[in-house]
Amino acid sequence: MGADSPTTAASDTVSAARKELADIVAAELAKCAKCGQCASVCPIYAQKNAESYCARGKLILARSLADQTLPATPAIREMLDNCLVCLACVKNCGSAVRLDKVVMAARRLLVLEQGQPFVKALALRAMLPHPKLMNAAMKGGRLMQPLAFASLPETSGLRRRFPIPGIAEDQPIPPIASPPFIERVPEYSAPAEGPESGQVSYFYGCAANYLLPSVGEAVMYVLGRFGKGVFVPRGQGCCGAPAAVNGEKEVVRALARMNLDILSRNDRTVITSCGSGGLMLGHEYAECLGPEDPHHQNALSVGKRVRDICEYLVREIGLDALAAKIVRKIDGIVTYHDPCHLARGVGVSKEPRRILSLITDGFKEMPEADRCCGSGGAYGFTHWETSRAILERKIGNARAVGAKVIATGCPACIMQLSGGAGSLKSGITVCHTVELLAWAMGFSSLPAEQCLRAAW
Amino acid sequence: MRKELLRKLKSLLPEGAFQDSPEVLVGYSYDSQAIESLPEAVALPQNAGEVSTVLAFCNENGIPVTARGAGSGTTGGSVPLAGGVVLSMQRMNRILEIDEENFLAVVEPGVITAALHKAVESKGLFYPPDPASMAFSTIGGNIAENAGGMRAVKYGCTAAYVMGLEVVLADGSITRSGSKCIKDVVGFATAPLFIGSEGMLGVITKAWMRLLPLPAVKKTARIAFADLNTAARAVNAVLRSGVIPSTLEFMDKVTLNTVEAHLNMGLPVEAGGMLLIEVDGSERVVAEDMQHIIDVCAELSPVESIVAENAEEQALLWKARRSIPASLFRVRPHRYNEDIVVPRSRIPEMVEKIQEIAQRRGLTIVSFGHAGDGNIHVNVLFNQDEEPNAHEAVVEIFHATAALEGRITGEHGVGLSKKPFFHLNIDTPTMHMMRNLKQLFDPKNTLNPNKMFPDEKGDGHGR
Repeated sequence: MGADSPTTAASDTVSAARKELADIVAAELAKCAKCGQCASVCPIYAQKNAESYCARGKLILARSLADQTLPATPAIREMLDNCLVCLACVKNCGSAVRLDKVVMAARRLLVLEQGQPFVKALALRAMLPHPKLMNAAMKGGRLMQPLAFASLPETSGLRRRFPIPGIAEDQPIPPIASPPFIERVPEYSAPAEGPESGQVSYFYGCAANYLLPSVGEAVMYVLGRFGKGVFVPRGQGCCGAPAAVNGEKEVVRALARMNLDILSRNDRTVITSCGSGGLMLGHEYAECLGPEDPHHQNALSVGKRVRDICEYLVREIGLDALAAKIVRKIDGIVTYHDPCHLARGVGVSKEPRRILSLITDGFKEMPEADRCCGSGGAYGFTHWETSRAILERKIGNARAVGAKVIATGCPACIMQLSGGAGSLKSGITVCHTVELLAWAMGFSSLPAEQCLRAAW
Repeated sequence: MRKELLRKLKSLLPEGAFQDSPEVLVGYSYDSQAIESLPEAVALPQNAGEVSTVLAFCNENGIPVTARGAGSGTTGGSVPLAGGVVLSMQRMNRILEIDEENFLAVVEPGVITAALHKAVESKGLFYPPDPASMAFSTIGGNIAENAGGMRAVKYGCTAAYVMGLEVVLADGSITRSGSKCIKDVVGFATAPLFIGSEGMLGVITKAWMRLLPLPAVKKTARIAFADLNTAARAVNAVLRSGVIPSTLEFMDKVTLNTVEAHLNMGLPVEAGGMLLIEVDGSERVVAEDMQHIIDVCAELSPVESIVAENAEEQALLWKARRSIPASLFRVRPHRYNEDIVVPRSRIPEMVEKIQEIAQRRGLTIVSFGHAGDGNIHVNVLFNQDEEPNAHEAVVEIFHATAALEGRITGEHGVGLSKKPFFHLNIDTPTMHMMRNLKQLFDPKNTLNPNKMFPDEKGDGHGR
């Protein structure tokens, strides 16, 4: 992996990024009591058991980076790369120290100073901001996939056929769906039932588009059954979460402006089906653009209209209305995994559980349900060893309550969890909450059927 | 020169057990106190033999060694003020045995206290000490500081649960104090010497900890009184009546108002003092005890008396207590968090004195803590520019504490931040005895030097 050209890393940009990091560190350090509470909830610290990997340690490291008391060594970069941005430390901190902001600012400085590894630079800068290019690349990838990867019998995932740099031998890879979700649905779908009682926009996100289109189809089905006309606006791109956690703030800004352009043409509620998308649209765009940006007002007004699908269903449609359309219930024990950005980022955790209690007879809470699954954007790729250990703990918790199905609210978690559930031969299958709901309402979707058949 | 010496230590330890890269060292330069100081190396031993290697080497070469658990201490006790080696015990984190017959657990020092709770409770056993840091602090650190907690009123502090210790002395010798036996009078009782020794007499490498049967249920009540005096009388009345609650916490008026302003959860802000009382035991005993407590308190005309009926209500009652630190942060960004302790009956006098100091100095000072054992968490809140004033307030509070037959620390230890006030509690002959003890165990003064005793380098009270 080489570094890209340093043309973007003009020294004034570097010093601006250093100043920004220094300001953030100073503000957060003023709040931090250095008590160590963060270490007790950090999934990575639990694996590494070394001070530099907990939030308190990273905050001090970031300070050393900002005031240049330590050189930006590869070891420091590695320590700061070892954060899932799962927000567990932030939410469990008595003074709400925002380590996520610190880590992202530190990564940004390091990227500007030292460059981004080639593969990441290619994916984040060349592809992410250009939906058409990404679409073409994904289709190409779909064609190439059988050459490089073999199907895993125990999951719907793939395994590499020969050594590929950056992909471990036992690492499950999700297959690319064909065609992508966006090509399966029209721009506007009239409600399947009843007179139209409202219209919403659906921001489907990359993972549902290219990897798990069944999630998008379930969202369309459920909304349609409740009289909602669903717009799937064309031209929407990546939410920017992968770029944000990798220190590519300019890419995030470009994506934010692009998506805000499309979503601010009307004042419809914007439905998301992934935690990260909801967090980016709902909160991070405004923060990242800053009050000076001409799109800032748009970011605020779109942000207010963003709803997670489960949140929307429970709050706007109501549990009674949902219950009235349930025609079958899921057998066996179902548990729920809280996606980090959905539970701690957006604050949605009760609603999916209410829905699951409605459509199952055996909903059971697992221990540490809100602990990260180890996916963390690209973390699973760049740090598979640690990610797998975190994942094993998660699957162990689901097993402990005898779960047959794990429901969750983010496609990234679904891929990580089903990879883990499969490679551990746990017999557990994984679905989006809305897929299970759609099934319970009578929708026959192949992935949900497979998921439930495996569970029985 | 030192660097070369330390390289030699590296060669004596297994791969990874010795680290000296700057980015690692910076992580071992602090605890939950303001003063930072970089070590020259970090040793991460995995057994007593490796600890012995480090201590013997450092003793021979006059290199300071500072033992460190989770670095959660609040007095700078694990900060390597003199540089040298930080001996991090976090990799010695195995629970070696849970003896269900003899009610004891054998643990390595780096075991997280909450992990021990979880492990023994899954077997129906109970390790009572519950310092607020239990989710991240270690047993070794708890022993070296004699950590307390909310349950101390009924169950005592960490010391009450130490049956035996394996301790490596400054010269590297591996010693054993105490045993698995409840009664043991063979020779001097040496284990208590290391309890609360703040890493200055030896390094604990294994501990035999006493366990109890796990109480079946708990019940919590929130009872508020018009003034703190009445609350204190209620505490005494409850204890005198023969019921010892498992926790007996209080919050003063300023604390109540601060938490209520933050959470708006319906706390009785008109009250002068609020008690959170929990009883544990069998279902029958707990029901009887709680009723008894309510009856006893009723005679003192409480302004509010609420008993939690289920786990959810119980959690809600405790939320007020747990939310104190976050609430304080909203008032002022900085705070001195002291842990004075006075004889139980003198809590109202002490809190009154604290409020007098607060008003005179124009500061917000909150008092809350363990009404059952007299341990008061005094938090002096301040903005950066108020720091000297806040510091002076703390000095006054310490003097007032001593005047009321109290102690300047009940849980956190002396470390660096309480060194200048040590003499308020420890007279000259007693200090002399302690210094002689230190000299006996550590003649070259390599174990956590510059701590506890005044007049050495690095005096200073800090956050």
